[in-house]
Amino acid sequence: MFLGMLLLVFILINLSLGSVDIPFKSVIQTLTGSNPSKESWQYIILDYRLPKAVTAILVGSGLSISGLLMQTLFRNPLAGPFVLGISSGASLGVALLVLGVSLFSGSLTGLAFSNIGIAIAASIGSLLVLSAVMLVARRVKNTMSILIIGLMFGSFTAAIISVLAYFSPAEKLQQYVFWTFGSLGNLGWNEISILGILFLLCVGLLITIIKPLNSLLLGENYAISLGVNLKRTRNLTLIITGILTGVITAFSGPIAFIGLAVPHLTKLIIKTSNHRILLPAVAITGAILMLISDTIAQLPTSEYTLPINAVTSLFGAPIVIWLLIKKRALN
Amino acid sequence: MNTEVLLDLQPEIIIGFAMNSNTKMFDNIEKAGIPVMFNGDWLEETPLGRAEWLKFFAILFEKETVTDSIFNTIEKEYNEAITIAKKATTKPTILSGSIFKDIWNLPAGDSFMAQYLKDANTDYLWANSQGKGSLSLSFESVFEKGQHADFWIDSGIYISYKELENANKHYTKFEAFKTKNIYSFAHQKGENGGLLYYELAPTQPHIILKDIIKAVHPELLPEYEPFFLKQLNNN
Repeated sequence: MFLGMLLLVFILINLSLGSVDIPFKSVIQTLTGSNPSKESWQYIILDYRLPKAVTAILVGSGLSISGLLMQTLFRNPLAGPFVLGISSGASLGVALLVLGVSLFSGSLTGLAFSNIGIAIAASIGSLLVLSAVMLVARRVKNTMSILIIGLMFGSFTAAIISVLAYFSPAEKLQQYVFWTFGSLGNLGWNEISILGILFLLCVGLLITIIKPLNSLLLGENYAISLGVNLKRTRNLTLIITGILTGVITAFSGPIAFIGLAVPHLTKLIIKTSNHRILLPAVAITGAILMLISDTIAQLPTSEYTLPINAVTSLFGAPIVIWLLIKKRALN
Repeated sequence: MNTEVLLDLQPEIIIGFAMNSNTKMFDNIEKAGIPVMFNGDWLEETPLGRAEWLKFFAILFEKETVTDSIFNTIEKEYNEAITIAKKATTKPTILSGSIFKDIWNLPAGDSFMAQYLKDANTDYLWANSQGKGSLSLSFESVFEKGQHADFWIDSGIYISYKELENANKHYTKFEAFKTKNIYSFAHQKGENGGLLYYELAPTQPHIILKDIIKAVHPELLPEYEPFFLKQLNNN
């Protein structure tokens, strides 16, 4: 409840702060349907800031849920879409499409410029890396090794991207680099509804595996003895994570640290490991953090903006360092 | 750059390009006995200054006299165009650049484009900004400032209003879109699909200036046919 109220407050703050200085009263007027004193303000709020806020909420909660799922599945506090190389997989997919097209053939060029093409490439990329990590995870039981292998996958994909980038023309490279900066403000309502539908689909699937997830926390053997279908739970978790991370990364770029940091932040506030409570809490906290990051990235009242990815990392990095120092306590 | 292949070609001279004093690669080439000259045309602050680099290359090919007369024509026509533009009775406001993701890139106040727009006797809305390159601004600040601009010059790679609309629906909310006063350099393409504007513009500043004048003050150059800068197609 409290978190829900907080979310509303931050949505309002996010909507009222931006490069253009719009008085809070006009923001409220626009949202309640009456016309503000300037026509352009109405457009900025309803057609720019509102879609951006909705995107921030979907991205923030989606990535945080992915992070939580990874941490539960691998039973490791350092797991997350980024650390396991899943985001790198999505980046590789996009890089192959955006940068690779110019090298190999021209027939896909149209696809490379459409958001849908990028979304598909990113989802395939993240699912591939995720399944590779899972395959390895089946053989290697030590979770620390799995994380290291995930990081290696990350370096591996980064290397392929470097090679592609080296041979790509400047325009394509720029297009890719800007994609990696992340951005929340370039989605129209059409794209947001695609993102929203996939998000709801994943949440729907998620509800069916809350119970098995809770028993997974106590160890795989224990979960099996409780009658949990381990294979199904594991596969569903992976598919959900892959789709969420892939689609979000596709539309908004590889956004760092949210997936890793938010579950820990949430667990600090709400001291439970029951996924029935934890999942919605993590989703809301993620949404709030993303809204705050976006508000900062807009550098209110200045004409310039910061890349969203830089802002989330500024938040995330200290938290991860703090985690490593406190790791003993977590174990 | 592949140094081995380069040495194998045995060029008489290398025209280099450097952003700062770190020229390690060229130092290596010089050690191999091939002279290196640095091209600094990108440091020029005015379009005419840049075109004057024709003379630099003329010396290498021993074509100084021809080039001198070519440059003098360019200079004369450019300055004539400035005089013509001064006769304009209006000073239209100008928007420029385009959105990538949610960032609007547009020429900074000391850039070539800003200089052209000034010489064409227009009011470029970002003329007072600092910097020679481009500005990366948030959509909403550009929208607030440029929503009512009379003209939109250099709208990026799109050559029709439809393409522009498909690229980003925010574009349609600008006055210049509604009044169909958007002009682009993207119409003229070379054999490989590159824009002729990028290839030829540095040596033809007089044509670019006249193109802009034709767009914003058509009454001043009634007979003139624009070459690089053309209005977007209607379909």
